[in-house]
Amino acid sequence: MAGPARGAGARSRLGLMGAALVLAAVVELTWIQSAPNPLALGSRLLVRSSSLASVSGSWLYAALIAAPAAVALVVSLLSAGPRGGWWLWATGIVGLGAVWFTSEPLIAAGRAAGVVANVALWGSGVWLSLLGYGAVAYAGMLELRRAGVVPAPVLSALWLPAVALVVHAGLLVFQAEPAENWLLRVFQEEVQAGGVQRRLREHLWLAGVSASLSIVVGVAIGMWGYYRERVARVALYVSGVILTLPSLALFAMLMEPFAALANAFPVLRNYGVGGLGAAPAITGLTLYGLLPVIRNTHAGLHGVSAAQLDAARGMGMTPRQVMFMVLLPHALPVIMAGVRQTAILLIGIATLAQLIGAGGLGYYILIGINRASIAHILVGAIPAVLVAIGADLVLAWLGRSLTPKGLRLARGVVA
Amino acid sequence: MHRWKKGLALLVTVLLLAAAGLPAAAQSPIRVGSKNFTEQLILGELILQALAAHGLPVENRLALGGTAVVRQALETGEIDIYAEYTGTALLVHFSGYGLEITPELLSSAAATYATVLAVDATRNDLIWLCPADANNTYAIAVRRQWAEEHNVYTLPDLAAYINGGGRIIFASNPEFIDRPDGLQAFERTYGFFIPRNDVHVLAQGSYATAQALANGANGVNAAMVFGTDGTIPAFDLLVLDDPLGAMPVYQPAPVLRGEVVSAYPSLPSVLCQLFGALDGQTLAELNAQVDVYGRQPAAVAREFLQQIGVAR
Amino acid sequence: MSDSVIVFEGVSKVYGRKKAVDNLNLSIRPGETCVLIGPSGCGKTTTLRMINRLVEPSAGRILINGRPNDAVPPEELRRQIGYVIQGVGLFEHLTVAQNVGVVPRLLGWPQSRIQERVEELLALVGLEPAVFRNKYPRQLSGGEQQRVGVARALAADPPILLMDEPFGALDPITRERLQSELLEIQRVVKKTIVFVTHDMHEALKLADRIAILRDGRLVQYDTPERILWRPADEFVQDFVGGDRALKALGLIPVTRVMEPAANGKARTAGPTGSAGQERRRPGEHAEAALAAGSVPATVPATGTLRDALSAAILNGLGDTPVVDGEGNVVGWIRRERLLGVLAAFPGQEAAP
Repeated sequence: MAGPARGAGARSRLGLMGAALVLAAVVELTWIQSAPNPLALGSRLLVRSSSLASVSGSWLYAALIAAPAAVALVVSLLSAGPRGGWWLWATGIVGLGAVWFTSEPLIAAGRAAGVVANVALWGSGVWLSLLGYGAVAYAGMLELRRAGVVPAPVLSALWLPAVALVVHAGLLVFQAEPAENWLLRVFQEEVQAGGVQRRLREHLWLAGVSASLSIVVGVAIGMWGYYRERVARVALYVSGVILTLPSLALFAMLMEPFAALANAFPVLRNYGVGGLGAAPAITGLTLYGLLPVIRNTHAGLHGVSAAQLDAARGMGMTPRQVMFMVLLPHALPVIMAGVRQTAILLIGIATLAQLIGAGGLGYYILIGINRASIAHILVGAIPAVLVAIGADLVLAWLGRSLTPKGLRLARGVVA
Repeated sequence: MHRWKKGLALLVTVLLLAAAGLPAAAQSPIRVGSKNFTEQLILGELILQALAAHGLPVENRLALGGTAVVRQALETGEIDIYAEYTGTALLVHFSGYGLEITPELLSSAAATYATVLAVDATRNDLIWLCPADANNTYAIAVRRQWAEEHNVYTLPDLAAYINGGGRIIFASNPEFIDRPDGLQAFERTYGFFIPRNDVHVLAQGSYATAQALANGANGVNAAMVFGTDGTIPAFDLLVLDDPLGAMPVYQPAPVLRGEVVSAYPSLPSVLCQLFGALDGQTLAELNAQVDVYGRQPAAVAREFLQQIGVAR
Repeated sequence: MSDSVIVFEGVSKVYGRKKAVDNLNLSIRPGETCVLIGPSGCGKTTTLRMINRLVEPSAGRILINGRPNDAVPPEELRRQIGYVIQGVGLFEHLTVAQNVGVVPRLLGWPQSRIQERVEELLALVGLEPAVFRNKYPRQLSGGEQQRVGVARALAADPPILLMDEPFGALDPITRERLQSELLEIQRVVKKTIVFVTHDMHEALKLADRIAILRDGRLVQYDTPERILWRPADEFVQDFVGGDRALKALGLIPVTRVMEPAANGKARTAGPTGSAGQERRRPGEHAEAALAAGSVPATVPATGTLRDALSAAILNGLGDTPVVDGEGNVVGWIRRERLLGVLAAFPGQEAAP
C-alpha cells in the first residue's frame, strides 16, 4: 500500500543527512585514536589523533569510504521511488562494509608506517560514518517500503547484510589472532579468559530470575488488586515509589537485612544468601521490576468491557472462572507489554549489581571506570545493549503469539 | 483464593533461595575478596592463586566494591580474607573505637601495624598477617613541567605557592575528599587550604585524576594519586614530597577471619611468603603491567608467582 | 398462580434512600413473553436482574418454579437461565462456536454434544454454521453479534430467557428484523421470556403481557390490547401515546380482514409488476388505477391493519392489494370492509 503522498521536493531527507554526515566525518573528524598505552588515551602528552590524510597510502582508503556517500548524496537529491530506494540501500550497505572492512587493514598500515602506536581505537569519525551509512541504508529501505512494489519477505531480507556485519564483528571477537583495534583486542582477551561469558551468564541469571519473580508476584498482586481497590492503589503507589529510589541506594540498603538474615540462619549461606551477592541484588531488581507488571496487569484487567463481564457473570461463571476465562485472556497482551518493559528495565539496572558483588556485565563497566578504560566499559555495555534488544524482540514476538487471535483483529472491520 | 496465594508465597521463597547461588562445597572454601581497583585485583589474584597452589580450597569473590563494602563483607563473614591497608583500618574502620591516634603512631609503619593487629584481633576476631614492604599512601602529584615552572617539588612548596596567592585546581576521587586522612590531613599538616569549589571530584580510583592532571582538563594542575600508581611514570608526573609525614602509612597486608586461620594452620606461612616478596617498586610495576600494558590481572599475578617460585 | 414459572412476592430493592423497586408482585406464566417497560429509572432492569440474582432484593422473594431463587448458589441458578444484554458481551478472544458453547462447557457437556448444539443454534438464529462458527466477534456486525448472543443464551436449553434491551444498540432495520426473528424462534422453542425495553412499539410487537413500571411500582400488567384500550391510569395513557388506537390497529394482522384472492392465479402487482400481465378485476377504483398504469400502494401479507390503513390512504381510500414476498397478490382489503372495521373498532376483530 502506498504511503502518504510527498511533494516533488521532498527527496529522502534521511538519506541526505546520512550521506552528509559520512562526508563530514571523513573530512573533518578523528578516524583513529592512537596511544602507546591504554592509560595514555586522552592525555595531551601521548595521544596522537591522525586524520586519514597523514597515513601514507590512505587516500585510497579515504576514497573508498567516501565514494558511496557521495553517490548516496546525489541519489538523495535526485531520485525517489523504488530506484532511488535501491540505490540508497546499496550505497549504505557498501559504505558500511567499506568502513568496517577497511578499519583493521588501515590500522595495520598505520602501524607499519609508524604513525599508529600500540593502542588504536576508532575515533568519532568511524562511529559517525557507521551511523551515517546506516541511516542511508535505512532511508533506502523506507523508500522501498513506501513505494510498495517490494514484497514483505524481500523487505525483511534487506536487513541481512547489516546483520552479517554484526555477526562478523562477533566472529572477530572469538578468533585467536589479536585484532588491530584495541577495543576488539580487549574483547578478545576477555572472551578468551572466559570473562565475558561468565559475566554475561551472571547478568542473564540476575535479570532473568528477578524478571520472572517480578512477573509472578506482579501479576498476582495485580489480580488481587482487581478485587480489592485499596490493594491496587497501595501496590501501584508503593511500586512506583520504589522505582524512584536510586538503584545504588536500594542495593546498599538491602545489604544489611540480608546480612542479618544470614547471620541469624547460617544455613542460608550454603545457598548463597548473604549481605552480598545475588540475593540482595535479585531482591532489589525484583522490586524494581514490579511497577510495569502491576500497572499493566491492573490496566489490562480493567480494560475488559463491562458488557463482557456482565454477560460472564450472568451466564453463571464463578469469580474465578471470570478471572481465568475472560479477564486474563483479555489482559494478556497488555500484561505482556508490561513484561517487556520490566525485562528491558532489569537488564539495564542489573549492571549495577556488581556494586554489591553480584557480578554481571557491570563488572566490566566498573573496572572500566576505575581504570579509566573506555574499552572495558564498552565490553560491559555492548553485550548488555545487545541482550536488551534481543530480549525486546523475543518478548514482542511472544506477546504477539500469546495474544488470542480474536483480539488481534481490529474492531469494527465489517459493516 | 487463599490457597493459591500461600502456594505462591512458598514458590517465591523457594525461588529466592534457589536463585541465590549454588550450594556450597562440602568443605567450605576460603573466600577471597578484593576492592575494585587494579592493585587490589592483583593482590587478590595473588592470594587466590597462591593458596590454590598450596592445595587450599578457594573461592573467587574479587572486585566486590569499595572499601566500606569489602570491610563489611569481612566483618559479617561474607568473605574470609582480603588485602587491606594498615592506615585505612586505623583511620577508617576503627574510627568509632575511640582510639588515641597520635602523629607519631601514624607515621610509623611498625606502630601502625602493631596497633591494627592488636585491636582487630581482640575486638573483631580478625587476624592481620605479614605486611608487604610498600606504602600505597595518598599523594599529591603535579605535572613535571608545571613543577619546574613554579618551583614546586614538595608539599611545603605547594603550601607556600597557595598561600602566596597561587590557585590550585585539584582533581580528586570521592574517598580522598571525604576521609579525614585524605586531603584534610595534608591541609592540616602543611597549613594550606584548597577551596572545595576548586576541587573536581571524579570517579573511583586514581586514574581518572591522573589523566585529568595530564590533560589539564578544566585547568587541573594538581591531582590525587596513590604511591604505587602506574600512571606516574606513564604521564611523567611528579609526586610532591611529604617530609612531615602528614600521610599515614598504608601497608597492604592480608586480614583474615579468626575461624579461617584456625581451620587452615598453613595460611600464615603461605601468605607471609607471598607478601614478603612484595615491595613498593614491585607493586608499581605489577600495576603498570595491567594499567599501562593492558594485561589481565590474573595473568600478571600468575607470572609473578611463577617468578618467586610459589606456583608452577 | 401455581402454574406460574416466575413469581415476585413483595419484592423491593433499596439503594440508600432510593427505592428502585417497591413492593413488586408479579407472576409470569410458562411460555409467556413478559415485557417490562417504563420510563428511565423505573426499575425494570433492576427487576430483571433480580431474577438471576445479579441484584439481590432488599425485601421479598422471587420464586422460580415454586422454589425461592436463592435456594441454590447463584452461579448454578444462572446457568439455567439465559441472559442477553444490550452490549451483547461476546467474548472477543473466543470464536462464535466457542462463545455459544460457554454454558454447556461450564455444565460439563461432552464436546460432541456441544458441537451439535452449536450447529443447531446457529441455524436457529439465522447464521449459517459453516460460515460463522469459526469467526471472531470482531468480525461480525452488530446484528450478527446479537444473534450469537441469543444463541449463546439458548445453548444449554434453559427454560427462562432474560433479555435486557437486547436490540437497543442496533439500527432500526436490523432491530425490526431481529424482533420478527425472535417471534419466530419463540414459536419454536417456547421459552419463558422476560424482556426489558423502553420502546413501546417493541413491547407491543413482542409481548404476551406487558408490565408497566413507574418509580419501582407496577402500574399495569396486561395484554397489549388491554393496555391500549383500558389503560389503568393517566400515566399509562400518556406513556402509551396519543395514537394508541393506531397502535391497536397495529396489533391486528391484515389477514384477519382481507378478502383472499380467488382461485390462486398469481398475479403481479406492486412496484415490481409489469404492465403486460393478466389482471383480475377487483373493483372500479383499483381497476382504473391499474389500467392507468399507476401502481397502487400494497400491504404485505405479514402486515397489520395499521399498514393497511396507511396503504389505503395512499390509494385514496380505495381497495388495497395484499401481496406476498414475491409481489403476487394474495388478497384485497376492500374499502367498505376497512371503513366498517374502523367505525366499529375495536369490535370483534380487536376485542381485548
